[in-house]
Amino acid sequence: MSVFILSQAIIKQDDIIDLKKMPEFRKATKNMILSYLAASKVLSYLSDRGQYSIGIVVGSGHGELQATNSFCKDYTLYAKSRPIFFQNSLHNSTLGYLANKLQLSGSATSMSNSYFSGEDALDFAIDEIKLDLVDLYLVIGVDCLCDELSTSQQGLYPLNVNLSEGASALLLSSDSFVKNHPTAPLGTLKAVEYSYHEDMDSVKSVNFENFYDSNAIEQIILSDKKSTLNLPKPNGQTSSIIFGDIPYSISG
Amino acid sequence: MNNNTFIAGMGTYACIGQNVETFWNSVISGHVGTSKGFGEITTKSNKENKDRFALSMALISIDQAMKQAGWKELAPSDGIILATTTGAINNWETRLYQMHHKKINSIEFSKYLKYEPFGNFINELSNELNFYGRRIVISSACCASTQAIAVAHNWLQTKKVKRCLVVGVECLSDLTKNGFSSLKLIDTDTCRPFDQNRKGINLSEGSAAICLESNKTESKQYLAQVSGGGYYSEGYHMTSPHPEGKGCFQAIKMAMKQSKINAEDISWIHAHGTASISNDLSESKAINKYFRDCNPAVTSTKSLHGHALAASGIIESIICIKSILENQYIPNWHIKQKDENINLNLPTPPTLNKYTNKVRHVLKTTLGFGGMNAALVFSGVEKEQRTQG
Repeated sequence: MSVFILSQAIIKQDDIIDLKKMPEFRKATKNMILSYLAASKVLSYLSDRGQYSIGIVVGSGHGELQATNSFCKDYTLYAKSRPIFFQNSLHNSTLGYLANKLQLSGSATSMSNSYFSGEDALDFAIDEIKLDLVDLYLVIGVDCLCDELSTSQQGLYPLNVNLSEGASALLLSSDSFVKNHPTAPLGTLKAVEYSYHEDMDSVKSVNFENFYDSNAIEQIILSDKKSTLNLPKPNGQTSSIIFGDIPYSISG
Repeated sequence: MNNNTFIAGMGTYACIGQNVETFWNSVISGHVGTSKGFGEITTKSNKENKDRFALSMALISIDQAMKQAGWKELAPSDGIILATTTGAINNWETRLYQMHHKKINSIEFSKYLKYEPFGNFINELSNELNFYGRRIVISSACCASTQAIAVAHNWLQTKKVKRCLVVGVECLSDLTKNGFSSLKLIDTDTCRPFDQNRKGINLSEGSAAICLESNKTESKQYLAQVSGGGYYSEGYHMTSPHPEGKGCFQAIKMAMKQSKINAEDISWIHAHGTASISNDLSESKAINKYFRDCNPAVTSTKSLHGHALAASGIIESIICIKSILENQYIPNWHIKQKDENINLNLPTPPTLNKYTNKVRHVLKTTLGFGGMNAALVFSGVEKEQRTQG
């Protein structure tokens, strides 16, 4: 069974500056707003999404670190424990927020694996589609800097990493969906491969611009989606996204 | 999918027992491991290794499980799935407070913040096990380890990996203690799931691990099998389950469908049963809706070992597996008066032997924040399957 990319979106921090002041997003974190915009954009591809089962997976290296810090800061400095910061501090609160706001129910999970957070989310979605558990899968990669901890966060990465923030999203489907849909898919996903051996020498000369842990999804969006996409990581680990051909009957 | 995922080994490190046998003996004797609302592990080794506590707990339970499974080491074709909500928070939370109090600066804090990403945790764990194969971390709150077992089952059935080690780990932290307190969910007495006068949950910490193999992998002895798993996000509320148990019902339905087992064949349900008002009501409605007149016995054991959040599903799966092996299920030890709004078959003490029965298929349910739900079906292994090779 093939897995197709139907739509894609990249949202950056600059896109949400004004939104954070809106009442609608008053209780939302940066991760939530970024993810929501990315998810909304890819789902707009579907004019009739109510009739499909749509799974959702969120991959994030640091999760909701900002909410965690806010809760802990209030607690230690002011002896206050604010429920909203606690519920938002959970790693899967981004997923819960999206599921509620987008009214998505069904297969879902939240994953975190540092530099492989995006790949793991993608790989999970591919598996779920191949298992025929859903019609479509929404894959989100999101990471933000915590305002107060950004210096400490930067210290976690080698000097050749320029840290960034953002959310990127893909909408995936099985071939049965694509066959019944008029628009050609953007690409075909075959597999995600990993090398967990840390070969630091191989990345010494690499500049990781606009990097965030889960930005593999963004890299896929920016790629040609034809040749294998190799993604070196700052610690010398690598992943490879293997694309396939779009069948003529669909693309033509 | 051939529907056979065998459990070759298991281990646990919890507040009522730091190995499977001690843990099980505590469960069958009704031993309570919580105090004033929290089930903290207070052994000497814990105090000595507080900064490495999460990793230490995980490695202890993994060591027990791998020894029982006869796994000397992990191969690149194997997989590890880690489930946690706070990871190695004990390594950095206190330092965060110090930074806010300006006792250390943000550069110094970096040395501790490196323990925050779950990816660091799974890498450290993999390095300790000299493992370079597929590894993921599932962070779906209290459902994480139940979902992890379901995902491992799928991995094995689709030949993604040859064997899979699933581990759940959770440490008590100021974040979780104060966070749940802020939601007014903590009962400072022993919690009473499904009781009319239940007041909330007991939080705890712990770890458990299980070694899973597909039936084509040679092994010495199997304990039980995972017959099915399901997970479902209900998109209802960030911290409250759907009042009619929508997501829990769907997760049960998926797990039962995958297991190909009929509702009437479920011998016992090990419920999530946190003793929060909304969880117990929602979960009971889901069970009622699926099982209708079958009326299987339902138990929560959280009054004994507390709620270990992401690790709760796998810790309680150990109880499910032992119940199959021992042909014995557990009463609800601390129900005084059943909630009149909960229509479940809730076995209660005093006579433990009364509950000794043929336990063939056990359902495990879990509900989590963010609207997540997960369920597993465990089944016994026939004698000819139990010893293979």
